[in-house]
Amino acid sequence: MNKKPLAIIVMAIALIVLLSPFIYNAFGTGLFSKVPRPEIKIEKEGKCVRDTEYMRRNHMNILLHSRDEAVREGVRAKDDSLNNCRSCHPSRGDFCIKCHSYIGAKPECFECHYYPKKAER
Amino acid sequence: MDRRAFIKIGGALTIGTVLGQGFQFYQAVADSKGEKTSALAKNKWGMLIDLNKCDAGCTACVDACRKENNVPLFGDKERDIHWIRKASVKQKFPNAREQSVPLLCNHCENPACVQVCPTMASFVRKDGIVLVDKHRCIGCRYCMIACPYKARSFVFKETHDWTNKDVPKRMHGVVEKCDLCVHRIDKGQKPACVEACANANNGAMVFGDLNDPESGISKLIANNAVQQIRADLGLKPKVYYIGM
Repeated sequence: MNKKPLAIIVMAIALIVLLSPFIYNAFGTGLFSKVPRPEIKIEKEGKCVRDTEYMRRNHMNILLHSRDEAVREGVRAKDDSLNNCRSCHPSRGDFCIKCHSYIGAKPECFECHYYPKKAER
Repeated sequence: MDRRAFIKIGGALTIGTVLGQGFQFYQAVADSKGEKTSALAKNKWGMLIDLNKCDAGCTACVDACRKENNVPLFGDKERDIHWIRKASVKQKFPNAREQSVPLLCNHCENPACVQVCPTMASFVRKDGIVLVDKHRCIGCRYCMIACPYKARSFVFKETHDWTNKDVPKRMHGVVEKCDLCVHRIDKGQKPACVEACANANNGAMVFGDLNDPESGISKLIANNAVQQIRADLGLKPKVYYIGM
């Protein structure tokens, strides 16, 4: 018995299943629409403590580094503190959470550190 | 490509990747400008408590600490967290007077808690303050067993009162204790308990630099009969008591 056509069909189905996430993300409208990219609201326009591009990639490194320095050495760098983030981005809901939920990151900073979800007036 | 060339290129790529990343990070951190303060090794912070001035009914220091550092009281003796507490002490002979003694972390120079910590979460800062890095603490509670002063508490559950939002809360599963209000010291202020004690017109608590012979605390220690709790243990505690 020739099983060749059956094998090809099974392999094709398997390939489609394997590639389904890429197909899901690649096509545009309706069911297969992309998740919209988060729009970040910046309350106080102006320059961040570093370049925006740099901050997007490396803000966590800066926060971690200055966290360890602050706790262990007592180095309190005003620029690199969470409180300083809050001075331009007063609401965590409009800033941190938007990107973090988009990429599925769950930092634990705010279990203990104060940063309100909605800006305080 | 021969083997030699392949290894050369591979090695260069590896070194480039590692150094490049590291350099980028180093540069970003080195670029950081703006205000910076740092703990200094020349200081050695300590505390002196004059028990003759300490009023048995007064809990100003305890209340101020709870408010300043978000230290919760759950009303459950086994879960409550204490950074500073007042204990009533009475000697065994008849007609002995009863004393109320504020007890807090002694910030020892040879801290037993730091020695036993398996993750180096407990450490001594340059200026002599013994701290817990709560980011690092795994909640094993060795330090609580090691500390002869019962200065440490385990966070069994989180607090929902957030009285002072400048100071972080603690997640459940870490150990915490008095940090001498390190955030205030770094700003050049005194610990909250000392300030509250002065405001309650007792002035029983004195905070200062033990390394500076001209500081108020050094002079008081030099001119009075001071005692430390369990000095015989050799931990060199930095909280001194007058009139114990």
